[in-house]
Amino acid sequence: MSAHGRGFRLESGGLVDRSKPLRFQFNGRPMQGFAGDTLASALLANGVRVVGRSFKYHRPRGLQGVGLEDPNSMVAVHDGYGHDPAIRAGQLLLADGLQARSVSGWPTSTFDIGAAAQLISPFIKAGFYYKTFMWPGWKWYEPMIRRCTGYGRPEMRTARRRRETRYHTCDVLIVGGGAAGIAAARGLLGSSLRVILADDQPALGGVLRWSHATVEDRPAASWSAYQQAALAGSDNVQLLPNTVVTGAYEGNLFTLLQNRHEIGDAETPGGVAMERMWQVRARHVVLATGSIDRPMVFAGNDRPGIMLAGAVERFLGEFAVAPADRLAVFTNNDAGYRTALAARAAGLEVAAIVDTRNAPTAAPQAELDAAGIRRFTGAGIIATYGYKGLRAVDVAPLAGGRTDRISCSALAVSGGVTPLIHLAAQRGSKPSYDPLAGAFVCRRLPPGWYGIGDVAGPCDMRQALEEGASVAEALRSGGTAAPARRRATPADVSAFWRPEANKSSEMFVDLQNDVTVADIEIAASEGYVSVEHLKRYTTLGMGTDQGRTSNINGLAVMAMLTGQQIGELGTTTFRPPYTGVRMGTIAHIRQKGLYRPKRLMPAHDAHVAAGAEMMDFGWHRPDWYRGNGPDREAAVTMEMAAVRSDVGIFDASPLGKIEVAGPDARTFLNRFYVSDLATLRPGRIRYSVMLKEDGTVFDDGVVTCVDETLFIAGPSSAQADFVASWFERWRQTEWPNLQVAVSPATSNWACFAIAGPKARSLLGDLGLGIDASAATFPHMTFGETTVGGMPVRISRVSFTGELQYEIAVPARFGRSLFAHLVKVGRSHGARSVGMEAWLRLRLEKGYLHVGTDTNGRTTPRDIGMAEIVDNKSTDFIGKRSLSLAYNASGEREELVGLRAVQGALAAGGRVLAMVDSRPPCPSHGYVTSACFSAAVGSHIGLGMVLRGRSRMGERVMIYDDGGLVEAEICPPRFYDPENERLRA
Amino acid sequence: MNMSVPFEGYPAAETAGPHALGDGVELSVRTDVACILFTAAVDVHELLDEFTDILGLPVPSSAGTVARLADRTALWLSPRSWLVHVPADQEDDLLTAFAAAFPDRRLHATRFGDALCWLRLSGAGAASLLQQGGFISLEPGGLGIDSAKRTLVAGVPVIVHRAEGELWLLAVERSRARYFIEWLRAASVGGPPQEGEA
Repeated sequence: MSAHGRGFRLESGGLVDRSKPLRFQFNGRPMQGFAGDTLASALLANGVRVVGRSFKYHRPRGLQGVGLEDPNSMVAVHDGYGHDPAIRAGQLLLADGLQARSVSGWPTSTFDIGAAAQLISPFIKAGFYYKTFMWPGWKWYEPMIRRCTGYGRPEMRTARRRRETRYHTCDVLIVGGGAAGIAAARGLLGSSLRVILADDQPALGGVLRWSHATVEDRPAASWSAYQQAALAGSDNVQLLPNTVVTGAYEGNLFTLLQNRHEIGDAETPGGVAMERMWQVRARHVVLATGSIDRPMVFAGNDRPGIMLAGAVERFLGEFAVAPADRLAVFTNNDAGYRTALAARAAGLEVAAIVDTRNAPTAAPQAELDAAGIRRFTGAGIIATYGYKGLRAVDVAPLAGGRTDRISCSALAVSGGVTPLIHLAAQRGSKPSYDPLAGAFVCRRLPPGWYGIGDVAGPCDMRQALEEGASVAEALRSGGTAAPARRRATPADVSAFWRPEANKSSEMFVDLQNDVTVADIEIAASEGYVSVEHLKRYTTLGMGTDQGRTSNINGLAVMAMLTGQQIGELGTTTFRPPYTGVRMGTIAHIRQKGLYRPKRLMPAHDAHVAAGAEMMDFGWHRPDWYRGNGPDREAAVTMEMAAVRSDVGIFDASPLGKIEVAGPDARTFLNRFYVSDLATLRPGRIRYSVMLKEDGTVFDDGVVTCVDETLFIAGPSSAQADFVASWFERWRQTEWPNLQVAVSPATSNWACFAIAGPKARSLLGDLGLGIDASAATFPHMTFGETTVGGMPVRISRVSFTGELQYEIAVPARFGRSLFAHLVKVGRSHGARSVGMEAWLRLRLEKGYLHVGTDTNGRTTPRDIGMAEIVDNKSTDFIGKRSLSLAYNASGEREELVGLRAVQGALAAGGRVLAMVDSRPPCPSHGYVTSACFSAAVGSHIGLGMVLRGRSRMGERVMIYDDGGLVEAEICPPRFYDPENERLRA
Repeated sequence: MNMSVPFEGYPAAETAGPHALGDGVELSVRTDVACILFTAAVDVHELLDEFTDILGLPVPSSAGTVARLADRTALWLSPRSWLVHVPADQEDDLLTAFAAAFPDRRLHATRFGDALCWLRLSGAGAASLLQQGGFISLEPGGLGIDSAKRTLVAGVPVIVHRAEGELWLLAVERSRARYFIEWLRAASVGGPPQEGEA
């Protein structure tokens, strides 16, 4: 032993590859490990005892566990592929060139000024800040508290890891590749079932990989390697090593996190080279997650060097690393004896075994005698010594008596096991306490789930293999056979939750958050008897640890204090993810330009080439064109002027185009729109709004009657997809007897609006062969033609108040048509018009923009469509709701125009209830849209104002962003109220 | 006005490919395919024979099935809707034939050639690449050969047709096609686009 400096690498053994030494740094110190090491084992091999500091008191912390369960070893890591702000040392395979730093302790984890907090620890027990930071106010303390919190060292670095996602389905998902998981997978080999077996380690087998036991007459390591090879070569079993199942969700959907690790060398970077996020849907789930060791509660149980017994065994067996040269064992079950013998076999001096039980059930006395290991039964540890590393423990009989001091540099503790039931609990299985097993287990698993091995309670190897085989048989039978039920047998563990004597403030329950038995006593004495309250009051089980090792002890102590059974107290809620997942892995490639799907118009590139400033309105659309002015405001003004005086060209392609066809198409559509479509003649167009069942307006648009059996519904751009689904839903669920077909065809067409007094002459010059005169093609008319084999649809509608035509062609011709319009339009004074100008033009006209000028309460009566509603005799969606008392009352916010008397209006400004008041005061509504109108010569707006239509001419004060603006309520038509221009 | 350029617009014709993506996957944009969306206003059994006669191939009548004959392919989308892709020069003729056969539009043929962008994805890694974007199939066996379905891939509605074991035809709404292609490219190399891309 001790081949490397102060470290504890064993001379031989382990699964590490000693021919591949790896260089790494910890807190700036150069160190060396081997391929196959985790960072945790490498630190231990290099003699590192303090890996960090506890959260609250900044006490030195060493490794307690060996992997995911360890609460102490959060480190920040640079590897060859990126930076991890916080990860457990045991989760990270060592790579060449890796640099790790403790995430706690300043200036270092070994010399931490924050440790001064220990001096005031008697004053900062559980709940202290709830009581202390009340005066003069929380905000006074908040900045300081926030600086003290958090775990990890974030850095602004871009990771070079390859990231992937996979969506997959399978018949059986086996979680855990230990003996039980392997047995289940083996039993399904060659079946028709598609199986995924996921395990968080690089190879299957769990403890079998380094155990000296035999399985089916073979050495355990050889057996598991053989089984892995057989499974890997099969057609129906997919092995996912290095994969943690992080979450279980509804419908048996699971998230899995797989990584690929490179050890690296002088040429290639080492570290986590790839992470793959899986989403797997499984019909059946075999939970073979095993268990983790439970720590024991005693005075001074948090010192570096005190480790879980299972961790000691794995460090010895898998990594050939000893936690110290002189080990003691503290246990309440037989596993502690196994640990002691394993340590002795590895060459460690085993100072003593301390067993809380009076008589061990199956301890190998002869072997222990042969190894010369001293035993204390019916005894406990009552004190420990050492600050940055354990030096000695005091042992005394539990019944009282002489105290022995045992010199040791490490202590292995085994308080029983905690089954890893997280995934089942995430799916709602209630954990229940099994007194025979001495642990919480999930007795009632979700449908299609099977729990085998230690996850169902402690069991031996033979039982695990039998359960795996039995479940496989049941699955193969297709449900006709049921897996064998486990016989309830008492485990060899004797619960020992806390010693009666000693200072409870020195007995740590949660090592990460510094929660002691004393904290739980305070919580209990102050009435926090619910387990959820206990967690929040004391921080027990919070943070990155999430109580993996601490919760059960904490619950047990609470139960003792409140006179309850542990089972009565229950557990806190288990939520995914089981372990931290990098945000970058979740985001995958959904970053920057791929952050979310974007929609481009057919002439997108042409707009960009024309200097359009594109903006995401659901579709990427021109907001304004740089060629029209030096800045946005100037360009918008110019674009509006072009429409009012000459002609503007606007890309309206995103407007919805839903073809509604069939013998009952008219009847069908008439049930959606407020306006009466029964009278809409072929070739004509009608504007209307659609309501939800509650009578509120959710979309508007025009409906075109192409012929008696074909209509084109034109919902707004934002609602086009939804309206198509809305039609289909009603057709299928409410009116299946109507003969109607719904075909959403928005993307098939590119559509351009030309608006302005010269729109007709521009249309004429396009060469489409359309007679667009006022007599033959009046306002709200539709026509079709074909030019050179290209179908063209023309609608005369207006959103600007000007003479306007909308020309639609198949999308492939969109770019050409736009170029053609711009070219031909030059001689007509045409300009391209963006969204901002378009929306201001409609505001001048007082046209509604649903969603902007309406809200979730707005009915058609509120926007001035009462007459249309009243005149329609047939039924439509939402009609009945319009007669409800609130909707029919006079106390409604109604759409009105607002003209600023002084100052500028802004959308969102509140209309004050009293003209001579200042806020805070009641509001009578708000400004929905506003702009300066050159055509009108003042600031104008639309607003929803209480009883607005009966208040024409009234002056109101509008509050916005700290200022007041006086405005006059007026009809919502500022420009060409007689509609002479659009009918030209 | 130049009306001879097929599928001008987006993705631009010059980006049609083929493009080599990562993992041995090849992507190309099919500019030679047009299509028609058929939606029935009545139970399909009332018009199946006539539908089949005019279309010239048996109309698929069960979920996920595809019928192919010569240069026409019909994909089942729902009990009352089908997507038929045909050579671009046949689109108008077929529309005319159906309009004449069903003047009351009990079966409605919608011009759809410009609504969808057809992508051809091939190679051994194509299935894995698609699986990065969503559940291509919830069936344990995955999407069978010559089966089709509508699903979300990378958040984009896509009609996925597995034409052969390693050949996939994808129909993406044209407005979302450029995003989808960029997504495929990025996913195939396992990383987000670099600064200035996408």
